[in-house]
Amino acid sequence: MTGRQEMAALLRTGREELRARLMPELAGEDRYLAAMIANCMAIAARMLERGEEMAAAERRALAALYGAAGEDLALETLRRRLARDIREGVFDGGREAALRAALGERVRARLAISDPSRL
Amino acid sequence: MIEAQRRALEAFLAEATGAEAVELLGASRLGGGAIQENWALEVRFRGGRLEGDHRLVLRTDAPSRIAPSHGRVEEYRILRVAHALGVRVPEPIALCTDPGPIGRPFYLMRQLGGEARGIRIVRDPRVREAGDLLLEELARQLALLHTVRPPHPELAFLPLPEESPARRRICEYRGYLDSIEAAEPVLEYALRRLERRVPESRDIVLAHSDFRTGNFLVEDGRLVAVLDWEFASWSDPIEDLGWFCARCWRFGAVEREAGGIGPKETFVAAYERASGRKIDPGRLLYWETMATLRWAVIALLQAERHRSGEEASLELGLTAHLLPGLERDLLDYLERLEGT
Repeated sequence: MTGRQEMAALLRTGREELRARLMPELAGEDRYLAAMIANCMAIAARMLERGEEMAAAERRALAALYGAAGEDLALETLRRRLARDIREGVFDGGREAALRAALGERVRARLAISDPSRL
Repeated sequence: MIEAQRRALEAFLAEATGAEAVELLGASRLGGGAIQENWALEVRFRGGRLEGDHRLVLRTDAPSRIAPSHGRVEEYRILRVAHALGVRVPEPIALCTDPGPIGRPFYLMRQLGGEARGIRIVRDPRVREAGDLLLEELARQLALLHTVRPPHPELAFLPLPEESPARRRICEYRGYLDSIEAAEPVLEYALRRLERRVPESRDIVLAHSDFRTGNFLVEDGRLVAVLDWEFASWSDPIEDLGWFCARCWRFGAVEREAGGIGPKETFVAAYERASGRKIDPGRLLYWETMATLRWAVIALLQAERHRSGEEASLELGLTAHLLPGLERDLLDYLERLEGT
C-alpha cells in the first residue's frame, strides 16, 4: 500500500464508522451535518487515490485540442487558454465537435472525484 | 433579541398598526439564508388594525451582508405588489426603513405553516399523489405575476433590461466568471452557445427569478405561499419556468421534470391555460440551460468564498463538488438544444 492508499483507506474506515454508528443516533441539523462530513471524507479519499490520474486525463483531453502546441502545457494554463478561446469564438463552427468531446472528458474526470454516481 | 430592541419593536408595531399597546410574547430566530435573517414573533396587539394575537415573521438583512443596500425594503415593495395582485404570498404587515429600532431596516409579514424544504416536498407522499394539483397552483401564481408589465409605479427601482433578458444574463454571468480566479471552459462554452441563439424577447414581465421547489410553502400537498422575492426582476416570463424545471432543482426526483413534483407537460399546460401564452418547448429548454448555468455560476462564487478563506464553511466547500454534475447537465442540455 502506498501512503496515499493508506490515507484513503483510513478515511473510508472513519466514514463507515460515522455512517454506521453515529448517524443513526442523530436527527435534524446534526444528521445533515454528519452526512456532509461523510461526503467530504468520501471525496477526500477519491482525491487521494485518483486525483492525479484524473487531472492527467483532463490535461490530455484539453491538450489534444491544441495539437503539438498543447503537449507541454500545464492543466491550469490549458483551462485558461481554452476558456478565453471559447469566449472569443475560436471553436465556433467546424471545431465544435472536438471541443465537445474534450469538455466531456473534463466532466467525466471531475465527476470521478466529486460525484461518481453521475458517471 | 435584546430588551431594548424588543421595546423599540413593540413601539414601532404599535405606531404602524394604530394599536394602543403591543406586547412581544416571543421571538425566536428562524433558519434562513446567508443574506437575510428571519425571526418568528408572537405578538399581542391591543386595538388597531391587528387587534388580537398574531404570529409574524420579521425579515432583515444579515449583519454580515457586505452591501447594506435596501434589499429588504425592495423585497417588501415587491411582496406588496404580488399580494395586491392576488398571488399567494405571506401577507405583508409593515415596513421599517428606519435603522433605529433594531439597527437595520426590516419588514414584517404574516407567518404561515407548511414545508419549504425541497427534499421534504419531493418526498412527501401527498405531493406524490396530487402533484398535478400543486403544479396547477404554482403555474397559476406565475401566470398572475407575469401579468405585471413595466413601468410600475411601486417598482421603479427595478432596472429594465436594455437588451434582451437572455443577453443581459449572459453579460451578468460572464462578469461573475471574470471576478474569480478559476477558468471554466464548460461554463464558457455554455455561455457561447446560449449567446449564439439568444431569443429576442419583447415579452418583458415581472418575474420572481428564484421560483423553484424550496422557495414555496406546501401543506397537505397544496400550495400555501410563494416565498423569497428578493431576486424579482423584469424579465422573459419563460425564465421563471426554466428555473423551476431545470434538472438541478428537482431534489433527486429527476424524472419528475417540473421541480421534482410532476410532469413538465402538466405544468406547462397549466401555465398556458392560465396565462394565454403558448410556450415553445425549445425556448423553455433554452431557459432551463440558462438556469443550470446560473446555478453553476452561483455555486462557483459560493465555493470561492470558502476557498479564499473569506468564510470557512463545510456547506460552501462542498458546493465546489456540485460543479461537475452541473457541467454534465449543461453538456446534456446543449446537446438537446441543438436538436430543437
